[in-house]
Amino acid sequence: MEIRSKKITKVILTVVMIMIGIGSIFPFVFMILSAFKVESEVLQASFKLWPSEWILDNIKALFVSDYYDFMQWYRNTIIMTGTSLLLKFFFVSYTAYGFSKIKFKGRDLIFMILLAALMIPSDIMILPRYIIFKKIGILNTMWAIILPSLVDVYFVFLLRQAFISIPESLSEAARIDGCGHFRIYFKIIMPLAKPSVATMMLFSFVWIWNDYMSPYLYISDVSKQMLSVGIQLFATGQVLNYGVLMAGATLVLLPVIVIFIFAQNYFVEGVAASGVKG
Amino acid sequence: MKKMRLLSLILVFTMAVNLFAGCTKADEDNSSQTTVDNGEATTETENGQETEDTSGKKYDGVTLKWAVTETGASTGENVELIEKIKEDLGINIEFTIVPTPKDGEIDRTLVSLMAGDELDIVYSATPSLKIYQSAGVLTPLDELAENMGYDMKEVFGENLPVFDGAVYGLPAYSDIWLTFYNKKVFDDAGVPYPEAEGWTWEKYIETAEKLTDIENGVWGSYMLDYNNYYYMYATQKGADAYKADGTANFDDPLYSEALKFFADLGNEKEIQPTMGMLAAGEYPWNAFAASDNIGMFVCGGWVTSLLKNHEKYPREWKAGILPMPYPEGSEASTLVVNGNYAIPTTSANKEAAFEAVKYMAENQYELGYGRVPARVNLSDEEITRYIEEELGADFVDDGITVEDFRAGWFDAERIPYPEKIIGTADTSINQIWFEEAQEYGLGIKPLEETMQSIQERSNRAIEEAKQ
Amino acid sequence: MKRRQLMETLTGYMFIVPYILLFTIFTGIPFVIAMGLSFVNVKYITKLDNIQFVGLENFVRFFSDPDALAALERTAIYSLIYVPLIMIIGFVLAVILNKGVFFKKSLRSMVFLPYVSNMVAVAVVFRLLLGARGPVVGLLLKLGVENPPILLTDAKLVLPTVVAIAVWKSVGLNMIVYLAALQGVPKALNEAARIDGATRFQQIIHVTLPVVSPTTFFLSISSLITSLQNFTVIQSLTQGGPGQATTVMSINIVRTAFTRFDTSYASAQAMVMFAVVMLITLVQWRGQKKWVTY
Repeated sequence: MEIRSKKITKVILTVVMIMIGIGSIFPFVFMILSAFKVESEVLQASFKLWPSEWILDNIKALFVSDYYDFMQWYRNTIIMTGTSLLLKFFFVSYTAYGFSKIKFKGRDLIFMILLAALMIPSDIMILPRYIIFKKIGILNTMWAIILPSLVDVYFVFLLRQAFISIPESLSEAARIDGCGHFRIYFKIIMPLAKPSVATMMLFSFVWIWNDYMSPYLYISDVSKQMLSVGIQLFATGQVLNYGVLMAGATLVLLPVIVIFIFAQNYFVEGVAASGVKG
Repeated sequence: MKKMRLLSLILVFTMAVNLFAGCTKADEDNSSQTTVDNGEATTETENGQETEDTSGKKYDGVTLKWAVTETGASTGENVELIEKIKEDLGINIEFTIVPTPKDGEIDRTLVSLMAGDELDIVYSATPSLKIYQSAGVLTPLDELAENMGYDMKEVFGENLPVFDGAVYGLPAYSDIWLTFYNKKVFDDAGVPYPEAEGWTWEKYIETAEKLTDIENGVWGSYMLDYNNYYYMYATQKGADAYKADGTANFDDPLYSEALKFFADLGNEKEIQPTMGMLAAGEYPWNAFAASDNIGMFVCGGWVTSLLKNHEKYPREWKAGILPMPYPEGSEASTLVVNGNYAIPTTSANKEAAFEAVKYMAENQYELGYGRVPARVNLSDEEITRYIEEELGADFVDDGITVEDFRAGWFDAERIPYPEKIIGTADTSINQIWFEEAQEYGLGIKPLEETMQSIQERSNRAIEEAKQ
Repeated sequence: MKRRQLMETLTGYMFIVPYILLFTIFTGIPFVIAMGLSFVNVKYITKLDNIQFVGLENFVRFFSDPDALAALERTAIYSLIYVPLIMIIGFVLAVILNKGVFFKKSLRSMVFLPYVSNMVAVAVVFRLLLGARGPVVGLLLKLGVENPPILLTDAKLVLPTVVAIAVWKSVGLNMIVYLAALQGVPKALNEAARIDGATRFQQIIHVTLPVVSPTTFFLSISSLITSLQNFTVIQSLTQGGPGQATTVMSINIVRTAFTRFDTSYASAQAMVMFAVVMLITLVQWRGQKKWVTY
């Protein structure tokens, strides 16, 4: 009896979760399918999810707008994201190593201060950052978004925790062999912390690809703009048919969705690992 | 051990250099352009002064940057203009494209200028120009004009944008509001084309009612959700936004009448999309030209440039124009706003920019994009010739006559009211109107409360602006 | 030995100095500037000609400015709906997924997907879905609802709608964190409770919740902070409208700074928000002794 009721509960809960799951991804399904629909079909009185005929015109139309250069935004965003990820890979891990594997005076105090900074709402800093960017000349360039992204305390924290959990004995052994800290960092610790580093790379990718506020505020030339801001301009700036709009949204979301599908585990485990230690 | 430390030092050093190299590269790009421009300009000016430059191309080879919106860059008008400038003055003008700021959104050009970005020419309607001037980013033109021996007042008269006693721009054209109509919609509804004489709002509404056919998706009337629509009826009745003591005058019943008047067009009389539809963004700003189911459209004269562009807006219907409707019982009036060219303080080449701006302000109307020149020194013959040959020529196919243009744009009897409220705290006030009118139009607030809110908030904004 | 320690310290600093440098430039200094700006009278962002110290004037202005206070109120309402909603739903989903469903991994990913998506692109989709000609309105009409609300332009419903969309977007994170925390609940505890006759529901309340309370504490604070950083969510869905219905603090601050160019006032508003966050965090911190069990 017990086992059967347990199974029934499992089935019921599964159904409930499936509905919730579908609700979660419905907007994406709608968006992707609509990208292939004839305009009049995207929104109509009698709702049809599946296109009655698949057309590629919408996607083509994205690239021939007279007002906006969608491809340019795509290029900008890819370059910005790539640069940031490359820099972060080295920069953040290097720093996290310093906070975890080297003993020196003031280390933990400084780290605490950095953690406290996590609580500062970003709205406070938009104006001062604007002023600073202007002063050092990176306003209206992608560096205004890349450089601040390098100092995400969250990832320093994440990697530091990961490094700490690697046994000290390994470092000791290496040191006896004559390795300095840098070598230990690069040759031993980093390879062992692959999962956490992968998590950092994935989340960094998502955050910077989706960043809206920074490009919106700090980049003024439309041609230098990023996808998040671009798609908003696209949507509100001209006569557009809905199919093209959905195609645009799809292309913006596509890279993230694809990477997510392939790297699901890293995303989920990464969040879990950091969240619990809390 | 020592080797490793050295390696790590080098790594840190290279990283640091890379980072800062990235920063300075941006700097270099900016400054190199400046130096090149400066270099060319000085050599050219020197040349021009030494040898008697008979070709008049004093600034030949100079490159200037002009901030235009994405729509501005793609209409043929601006492209033709810079081509002409290249021909006649030898100056190269490059577009710097910026998004069109909507109510409540960031004006990128302005923020750019405040950050010190170099621009040589900006275009702005008078109300926005005032904001630029308050931000301290515009060059006063009086000195530049004097050095050239150019009498701005003679050419542009009262149209010159003067703030704090100095001239900050040269007006290229007056944008005068019109009624545009789709002749096919009229034909289908069996309604005769209206006459310009006595074209009041009441007649407009009557006509729109006859044209509207909701079942077939035809709107008799169409307007946008720009803030000035909400108070235009009051403006046309002669209401003043400010009382004699400088405080807001929106408790004048004319203003609540104006707001109700506009909202009713869509919400009650149903001759145009409701405020809800406009707020949801279902109808873009160029809906009239881009679709074929709108009967009439009341908006600024710039719409003619859309109608003239058959590439972007291929239409199978003919267009007609009428003057802007006015309230019955009041004198015939219309809304006017001047478009000006100005020179930011960040320009590295103010003299060349002034040459270009002067040329643009004086001659742009001749390109034939349906612009009404802001010059006051054109003779009657010149005007007639312009209407007959230029304006008329482009709209022959539509059947728009010289008389139509005269009635709409060159009627000396018609009172020209400024399109938007200009005065203390005008940006805030216009934003307040936009927000509050939406709330009223969407049924969130009753009319009385809305007007009270507008009055109170406007007075607060005026107070704050005075500090 | 001392020399060794010195080398260690030097190396340590070498590792962290680049970061500290950048951090100071991009977070430390801005924070200090923000504080400074709120006590002076700068307008037009970088026009520093007649800068004057004005003490608490900007803050006094804030508390007597009905528009700013209204924005604060809306932020409060937003957070008051957002935080409990996302905490409860996140927890419930985690419990369900943990207890037993088929396809656990796939379902987990489906709920998490919105979190990694681009808010602006998603907003574009939602504007269509909830618009006048969208499926939601269509469905309501079919069900016989006479005047179905157009959610994103209905003044009363727009704020809850925006909150709901924000929750949809981020609930995956809360769920995953709770899921991980649930793994740490000793089975023995639940067994003991069941033997004592507790129902599944009672087990959750009396065993599970206390055990995951540290996580709850952590999530409540991070959810609060996230709820305040809602500029992108609102700007992309409603731009602060209709009217001012969704003009919350974050939107108001950006507007004050970049369209009204009232630089110092904007900074003061941001400082107020910061103070509120600190206050609530402090209260939570003190309170944790009472309800968080380690």
